[in-house]
Amino acid sequence: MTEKTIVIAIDFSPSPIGRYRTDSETSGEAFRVDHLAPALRMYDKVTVILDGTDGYGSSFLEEAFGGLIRKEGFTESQLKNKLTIISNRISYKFRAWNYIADEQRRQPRGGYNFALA
Amino acid sequence: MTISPFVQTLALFAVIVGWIVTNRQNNKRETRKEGRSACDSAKKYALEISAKGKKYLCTRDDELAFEVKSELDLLEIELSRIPYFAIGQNSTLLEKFILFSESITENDFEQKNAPHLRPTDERILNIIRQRNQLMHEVERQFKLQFH
Repeated sequence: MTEKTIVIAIDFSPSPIGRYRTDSETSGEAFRVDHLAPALRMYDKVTVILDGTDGYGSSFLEEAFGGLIRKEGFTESQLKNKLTIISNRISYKFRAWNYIADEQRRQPRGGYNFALA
Repeated sequence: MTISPFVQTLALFAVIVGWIVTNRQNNKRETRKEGRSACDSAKKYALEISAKGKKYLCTRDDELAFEVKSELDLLEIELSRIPYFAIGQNSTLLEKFILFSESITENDFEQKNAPHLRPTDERILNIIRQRNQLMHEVERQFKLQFH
């Protein structure tokens, strides 16, 4: 089994800013496209460590994590199996998983993951 | 006159019980003081963050966005000092904190060329609403935990 750990503050940027690349090179979109989605496709398990940055706006978190479903084609159940999010601030972790669940619900055909029930 | 061993034991027992009761009361008072300080500090941060959040959305000054994120982090640290903050989905305090954070940092937060909002914009009013709800919840938790 292959595993990858991404420490955002070291592997991406200590200052994550904004939603889209047009806002900043350290945006949620840049993180998702350049780091998170490729790692999720390449490795069996991916751990993302959120600690050590200047903080996250909801815009960054939603685009990085909700975008995995909206734009990268992952499902919530796949992410539950593959992705681990670690943070000293419980709200970041909670929000990231909430954005994933929200986006799954917005998908066509309901997008509910009945396997988790 | 000699004191009987029974009375001596009884006196010693009374001293120990007295010490335990006093110690418990002191601990309770200290915990309450600590809780009060966490709540006051959290409320102070919430006020500052909402003011900076409102100003950011009206001016789109990047420095204010940085300060908002940084102070939201500090606010969460203060809220974590209040018992039962971090119990996941069942925590009303955590929920109110998240709603407050999102009211400022959602959608076009840190977006280039985002419109400058008017002070009476619904989004600005929502920040105040969410801040007040968070502050009410902080006080409710204090009463629940420390009264």
